[in-house]
Amino acid sequence: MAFRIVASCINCWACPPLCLSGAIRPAVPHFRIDAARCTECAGDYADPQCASICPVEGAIVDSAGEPLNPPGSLIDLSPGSLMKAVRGMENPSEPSVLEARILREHLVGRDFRLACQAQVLGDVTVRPA
Amino acid sequence: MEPISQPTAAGASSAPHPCYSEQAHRHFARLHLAVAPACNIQCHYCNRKYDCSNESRPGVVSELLTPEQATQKALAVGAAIPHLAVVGVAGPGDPLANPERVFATFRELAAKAPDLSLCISTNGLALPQQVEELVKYRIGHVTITINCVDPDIGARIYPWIFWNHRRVRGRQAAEILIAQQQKGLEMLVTRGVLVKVNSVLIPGINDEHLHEVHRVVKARGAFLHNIMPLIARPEHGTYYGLTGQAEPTAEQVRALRDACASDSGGTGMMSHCQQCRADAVGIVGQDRGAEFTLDKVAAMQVDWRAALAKRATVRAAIERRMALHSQIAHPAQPMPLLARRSRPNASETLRMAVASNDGHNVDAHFGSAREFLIFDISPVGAKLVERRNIDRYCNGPTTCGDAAPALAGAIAALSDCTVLLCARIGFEPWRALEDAGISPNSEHAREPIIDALLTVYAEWRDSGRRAAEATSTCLCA
Repeated sequence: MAFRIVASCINCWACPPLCLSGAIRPAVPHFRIDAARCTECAGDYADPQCASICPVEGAIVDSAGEPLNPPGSLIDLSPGSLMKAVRGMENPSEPSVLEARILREHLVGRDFRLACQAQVLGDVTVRPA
Repeated sequence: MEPISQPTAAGASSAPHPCYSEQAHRHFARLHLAVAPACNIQCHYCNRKYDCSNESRPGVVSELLTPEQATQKALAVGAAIPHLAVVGVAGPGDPLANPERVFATFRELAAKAPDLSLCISTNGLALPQQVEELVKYRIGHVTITINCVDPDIGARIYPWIFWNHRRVRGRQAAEILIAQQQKGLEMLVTRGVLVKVNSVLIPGINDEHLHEVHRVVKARGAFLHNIMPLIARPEHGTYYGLTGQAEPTAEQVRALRDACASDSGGTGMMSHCQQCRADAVGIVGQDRGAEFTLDKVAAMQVDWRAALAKRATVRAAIERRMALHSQIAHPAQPMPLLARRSRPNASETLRMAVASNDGHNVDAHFGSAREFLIFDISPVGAKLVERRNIDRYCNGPTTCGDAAPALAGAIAALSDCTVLLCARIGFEPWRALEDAGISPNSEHAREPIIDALLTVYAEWRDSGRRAAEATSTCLCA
């Protein structure tokens, strides 16, 4: 029983001070949770502390790989409305590097199927988180 | 020009702080240490993932610093830039969500650079429990970002806060945040700390409400209120950017600032804010961050005692110069300007934008100017309306497309001006400005601003443009 931090972690240092068991350590390229120490805060807090302050959707997952903060849960944007926003700004014959970067940042870890449908992806590699 | 005053409130710090005094803003340098990565709330105008070296807006940094690196950087900058006066922590998260890192840095600096004024900029959530600690580190200036005093409005700005070990959402979150901000503001004022309140103007969400915010924070003793335009573009990946939330126009910002200023008797509004990055270095508008990257700072040999002495000498010289300049710029007698009348007539008022780097002369190239001084000239005198930033989004043409959008943005930001004074200007922007009804003028390159303004105003008045304009607005010429 342990959580895991994945690639979308931005190393913002919010979670380590909150971890009662000291399981979260700075690491390269992103913070890591020591599975042997993580208790998922069971018995200490109603909500797991790391996941309650984490600002990035999908960055912390449970032992089944399910995100504790699923897409749309932190910035109040569902994958559908995000795609609407993306379509609103696309209109490209040729996607710019910038547009591609936005898409990569925001669609990875959200909804891979929707991301693949976006016409503006160009040659940018999008992979599930 | 309008008087430029130093803080004079009771308990005010005498340190020349660029954010708290427009005059200090031109002469003294500041340094933002990016030592506070964590945040305890989410704002809809912020994206914690984003980081771009070409962008200039709050919350953006290139390198995160440990307290040791931050101290070393501050001492290195203080040695290389002897007009450094202020060291602040403004992010990229919230300083008070990182108290250990921030206070470790301040502890070192208080010992090795006691002349530097320390400040923080916070969302206020953790402020009440940290006030005593802040006072202990002789922090004389604190900025709180207060966008609302109504939780229903707050619920449309803040999706969540982290509070008492839980993620709290919606109206309840806004209610807690507002209560903490107001309590923190009151506690700081009681202890003699100068508080600036930043409010982000979000059209359709808090624009009307900011009048109320202004009244409340002034009543609680805020020294300055700074209304800043929302920055929201899709490429920033923020909620507001992605949902097409409109940014305010320069005119909207100015109108609200004016209205708030008149509510409180013309004092305590800030109009020179540049919305700096959380790792800015140097005089505002002339960032020197690239000279002080981690690797460069690590290689520097710094004698902090010698730097301390040098800063004292330089500060004394600048203060003498500022005093002299203020005598020249604000003589006991009113401006020696045309026929004096008590109230200017709107049709006799000419709004001009001036591109200036040093704040005294028309010395900036239009294309490289980061801010413009906006003046209203009338027979009564010349009034500095505001310093207007035109380049707050991006200055990296290689990553952000060609220069056309930047030019269009600059022109839109100057749309209320009739004349633009600059040292040099290219053919393309010249034509684009004329098409937009703004007359560019580079005939007064390197002349003192006030002389150029007076000459151009006299020409404009004589040339009959006023008559033409008067006709078009159905007034008798």
